[in-house]
Amino acid sequence: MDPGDSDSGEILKVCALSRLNAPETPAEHHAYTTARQTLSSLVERIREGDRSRESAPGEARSGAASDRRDLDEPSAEAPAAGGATLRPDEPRPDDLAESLPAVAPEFRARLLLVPPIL
Amino acid sequence: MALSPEASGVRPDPSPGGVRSAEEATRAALARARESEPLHAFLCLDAEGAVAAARRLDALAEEERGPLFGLPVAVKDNIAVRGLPSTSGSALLDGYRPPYDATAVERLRRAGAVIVGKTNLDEFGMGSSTTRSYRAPTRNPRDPERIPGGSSGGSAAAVAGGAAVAALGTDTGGSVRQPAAHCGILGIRPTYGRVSRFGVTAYASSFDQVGCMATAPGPLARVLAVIAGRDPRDATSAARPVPDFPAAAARPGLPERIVTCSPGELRALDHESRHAFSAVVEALGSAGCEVRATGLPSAATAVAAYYLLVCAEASSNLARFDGMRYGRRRPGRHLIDTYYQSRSAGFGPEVRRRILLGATILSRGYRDAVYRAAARARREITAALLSAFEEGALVLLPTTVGPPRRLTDEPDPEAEYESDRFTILAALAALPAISVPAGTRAGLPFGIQLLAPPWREELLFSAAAALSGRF
Repeated sequence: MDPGDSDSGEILKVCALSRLNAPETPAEHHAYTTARQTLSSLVERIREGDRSRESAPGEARSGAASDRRDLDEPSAEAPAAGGATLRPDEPRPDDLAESLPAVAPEFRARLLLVPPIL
Repeated sequence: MALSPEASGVRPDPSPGGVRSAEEATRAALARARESEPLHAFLCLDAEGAVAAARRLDALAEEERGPLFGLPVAVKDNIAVRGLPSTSGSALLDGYRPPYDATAVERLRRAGAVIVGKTNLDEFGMGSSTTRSYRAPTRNPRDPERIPGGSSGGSAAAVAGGAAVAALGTDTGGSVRQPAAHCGILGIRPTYGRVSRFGVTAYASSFDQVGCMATAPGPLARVLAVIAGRDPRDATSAARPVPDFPAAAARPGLPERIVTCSPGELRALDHESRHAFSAVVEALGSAGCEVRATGLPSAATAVAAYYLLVCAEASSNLARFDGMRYGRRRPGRHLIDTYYQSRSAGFGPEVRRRILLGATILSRGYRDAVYRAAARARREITAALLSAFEEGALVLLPTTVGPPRRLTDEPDPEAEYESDRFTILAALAALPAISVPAGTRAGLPFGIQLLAPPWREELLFSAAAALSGRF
């Protein structure tokens, strides 16, 4: 893989975040690239759902105002272009408690309550 | 080799007190499990332990016998059973034997059930086919050339093949209901919080629920009644009274009105399934139950929200499997490399894929733009489903989009995600839902799904009893 290539670079970064080896074979690379395409496709569907609801006349939009940030409206953290800004140099939250800041508030309580497993 | 429970020595619907000898029932189930070994329903059979437990039960006085006396039950391999291997279908956990029982298992044993073995699954529950276990794929007892569905396909095949009267599974997005439909049996996902998750390997914690499967509403209701209820070891289990599910199953009844999705959503079904679903709607109408189409949430958005959220949760939950804290270790050059080598060698391709997706979704930039948007979609889907219950007492949906695929057909992962489109709605909204056999299409089982408001599983058992044998 060529870390200089933006697609390969993103894959390498997310592999590092996941503590998984970077893809070595063409088949693995294809699988990882396909995963990124799946993500794009899922995100597009959410956007499409939002657009459908917005275009439905008179339909109330639920959710708190703070949660209403539009997907097309870049967040303070959102990258300007070219996908996510992954930062493997930052400490990677690799257990449940440390990962909680990355989880929406309504799920934190539930995740904190996960029973001891295995 | 099509198998049916009727062909086994195990009575598919023993009434309470119907098992006279626990040992006899257990031996019959074990014999059937051995005969049907080519199905690969089980990852581990516990013949010795099961017979010993059955003998202890037989020695009890009549009044000491529990409500599940002598009932042979199979348990999905991501649910801890003391002393038996618990791999979650992953090479990473090969050889792990938990020193304790999951709460659901503990309650089954206390009620007199006999655990006959651990059943196959897609690795960590990530799949809809039971072909993604680190061991051999499970085959469908109704047509062994086809998948049984998943991820609780081993449990469904064990029950449908007569090797157990009931089985435990876990349902994150449909993993109990979908294999139940493909194998021609009943499967229920209870309301989130109804059953303790203590001792269940976490996949997506805000979705995972323990469910059960059986060939008839009676034993299904009895098993759920036993495993339900508050557990201090799982703070997400609810301190709510458990209704009398067996009584509901013994009282068949359909509500006056049921709602279903718009005809447009049914276009996802293949021709035979659409025809079979129409036949169910007609039959319900003939029975005096109006089925009204309404605007349920779009399945396309639901599939997206579901997979974005479960992958995010999976990436957090599976971080613990690093060869140091949990899981089989593959030594590396140093500590961090050991993590990489253990995880890369231990996880299968679909698990790695979902971890990568989840890590991306939770990373800087995507977190707000993707994760929170998916969470918001989930809230909106939940609100829409809850408002549907103002129009009808239950929601009716197909369970699957088509028949179980052939084992030799390997769909791309995204296509497989689509096959969950009718089961993930209940999972997103934390609602109880049951899959009930509703005849066949093209010679293979067809299942319909009923969703109820939160904590109203008894409505599902009454309706399932009313529908049983009607198709």
